[in-house]
Amino acid sequence: MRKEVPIAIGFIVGILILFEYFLKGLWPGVAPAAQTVQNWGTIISAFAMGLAAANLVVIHSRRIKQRHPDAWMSFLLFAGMVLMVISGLSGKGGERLYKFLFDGLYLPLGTAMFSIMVFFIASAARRAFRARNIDGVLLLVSGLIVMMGNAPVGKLISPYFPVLTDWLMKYPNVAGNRAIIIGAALGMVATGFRVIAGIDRSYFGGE
Amino acid sequence: MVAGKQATFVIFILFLALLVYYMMRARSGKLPFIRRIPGLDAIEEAVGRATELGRPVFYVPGRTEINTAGAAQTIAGLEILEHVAKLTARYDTDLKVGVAAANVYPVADAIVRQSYLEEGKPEKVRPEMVQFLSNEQFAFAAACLSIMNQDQSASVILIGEFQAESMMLAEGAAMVGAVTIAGTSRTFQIPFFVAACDYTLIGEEMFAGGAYLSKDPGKTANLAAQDIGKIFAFLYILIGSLLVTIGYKWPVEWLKR
Amino acid sequence: MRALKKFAEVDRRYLYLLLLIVVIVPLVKPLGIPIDVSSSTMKFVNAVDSLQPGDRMLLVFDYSIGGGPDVDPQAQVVMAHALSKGAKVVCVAFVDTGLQYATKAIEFWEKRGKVYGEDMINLGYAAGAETAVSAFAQDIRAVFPTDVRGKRLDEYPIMQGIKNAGDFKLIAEFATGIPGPAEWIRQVQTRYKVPLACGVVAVMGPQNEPYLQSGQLVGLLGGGLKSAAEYEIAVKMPGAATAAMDAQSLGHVAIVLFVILGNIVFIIEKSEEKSKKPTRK
Repeated sequence: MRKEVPIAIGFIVGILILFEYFLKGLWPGVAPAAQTVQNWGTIISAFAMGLAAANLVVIHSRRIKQRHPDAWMSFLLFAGMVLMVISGLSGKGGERLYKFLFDGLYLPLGTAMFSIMVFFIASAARRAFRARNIDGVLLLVSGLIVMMGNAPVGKLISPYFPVLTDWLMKYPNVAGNRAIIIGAALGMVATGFRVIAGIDRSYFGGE
Repeated sequence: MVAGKQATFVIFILFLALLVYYMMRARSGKLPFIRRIPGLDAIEEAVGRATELGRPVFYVPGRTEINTAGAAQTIAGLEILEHVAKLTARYDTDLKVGVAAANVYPVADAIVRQSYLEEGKPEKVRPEMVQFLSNEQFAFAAACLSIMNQDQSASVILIGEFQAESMMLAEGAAMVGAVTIAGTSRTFQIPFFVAACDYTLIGEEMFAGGAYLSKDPGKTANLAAQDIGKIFAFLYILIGSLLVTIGYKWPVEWLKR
Repeated sequence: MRALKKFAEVDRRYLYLLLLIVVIVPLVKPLGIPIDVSSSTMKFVNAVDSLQPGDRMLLVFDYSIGGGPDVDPQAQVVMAHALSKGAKVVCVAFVDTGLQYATKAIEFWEKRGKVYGEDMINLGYAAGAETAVSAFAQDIRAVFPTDVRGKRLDEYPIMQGIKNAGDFKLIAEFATGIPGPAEWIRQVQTRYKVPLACGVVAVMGPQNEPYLQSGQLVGLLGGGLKSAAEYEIAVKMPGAATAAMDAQSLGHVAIVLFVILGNIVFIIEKSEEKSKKPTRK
């Protein structure tokens, strides 16, 4: 029963959504039913956040209990969680604190992490982006052209950079991407079919 | 039928028929051939290295939720996680799994528990093994880098859907000297992985992973059906382009129906 | 030769420092490098330009904090452009942090005299990614019975006559991941035939180019901050993105130089290895 019930639910929901997508004119009741199921999906996603938060609490409580050298970071995490939740839920009163935490901490921290990526790219540029073979040469040369073409300074260095970038993006790039989109779409349909038909059960946590 | 979806529906039904045909063929013992995939063969080597060094394997099954179109990649990542978890259980090697999507967490956790149970070592499972880190892209990347640094991970396996954080993760793994195996079908992350990782599963090699590692007939049959589907798409584009060029518009018009 | 080899061995933190200087200097002292507007940006500008006063546009804030610096300037300038045309803007988010960006944008325009509920509205955030997008597109009130301020949608003039995604004149989706253009094309553009234009982080631009060529997107800001700068130039509203372009330009040049130098060292090392081989015999 532990597996049969979810498989049955997966099958019914999958067929319902497919029916609504392709054949909703044949049965007027299908659109509201599909809408209800999709709303359930939205609610379940929100519940999954709770489960993930519970995992964070378990792991970091253990760290504090075990007096891990970085236990203070776990304290910080709890403080951040509690502050954000309380300020977010306490209506008008907590709004200012919530905005301060978001604008003053969350936003600059997230932005800083994004900016740090440039250093990883710089490090990889020296270490890893090597023209080891003919494929590597093609990848590297086209990559460098697109980088220069995508920066306004590229046109100042050579008027050909934007022209070549435009050509690379519109033709080789689009052709390659179309092929990948077709392959990925077939892969998605196949995976979807396996899940709906109950053949693929990896999402239960193994066979 | 809904207008504008008739052609899609016909293609969908034909492809389903193809899937069913190859599955039935596989059940009767006619399995399609799958070529060697070095990135998947390297998984055992990566776990072996971690065992020798006494340091953990760090696994990330992508960053996408399980109810999006990227789910196929997440599921591929989870299928390979099952194989990795069985190996780490068998060799008594520490495993850490970093999860970014809330609804992937319970699935990844269940997979690791089940794999350890199947290897007869359920007592080795600890809550820290599968961690939900953050659904915020770069907070997640920072947490992964922190785990790699703290644990000095011997092997880092990144399989699933990755976005801009791919470079950080791959280069971060290289900085701690880990063997890196990465796979994604996100086209614009593949070059980063190819450049910075030891082994890369390019695009559909990742989807083949589950079939390749499990030798499951159903999954292997899927690959054959997908290949036939691609050949049809290729022929349609080729013949369609020729026909449209000489003035017959129906290959394009039919797809719009 | 020796200097080149030193480049290969130098502590990576010196490279970081060099890059930091290269990026910061033009921010302090702009160089004024001219910016050209690409055709894909122009298509987006034209799509917004075609809105008539009173037309309703859906502005979707599907971006995370990480990619925000690349995409937020795009959303800001598109919203400014739409409001300047007299169009009405309905904001929504399917990525949690997107809600905060939407809130900030609404507050910004409220301070400048736009009326909440008439000129613009913030519906809020719905979890569930593509599923939520699909549910929203089918029946907006089923997902958002009220706006973020807790009032029923029917109480606002801007929401009169808007039932599903097909009732908007234009949808502008800004994304850093999922849901993104592919999800909106699948769930909304294909089903409701509503014009869809997208803005994305630079790394997602190329993979969305096919949708622009196929006409499924009516405009694409695929170059991250650079596209935002192009848009600002095109609509004559220069802002944060235009100001950051010089820094981005020099950053690109520095990375390109690192790659070229790294490869020269690689070629030298390879040729040295080859020349050493016979002596081993």
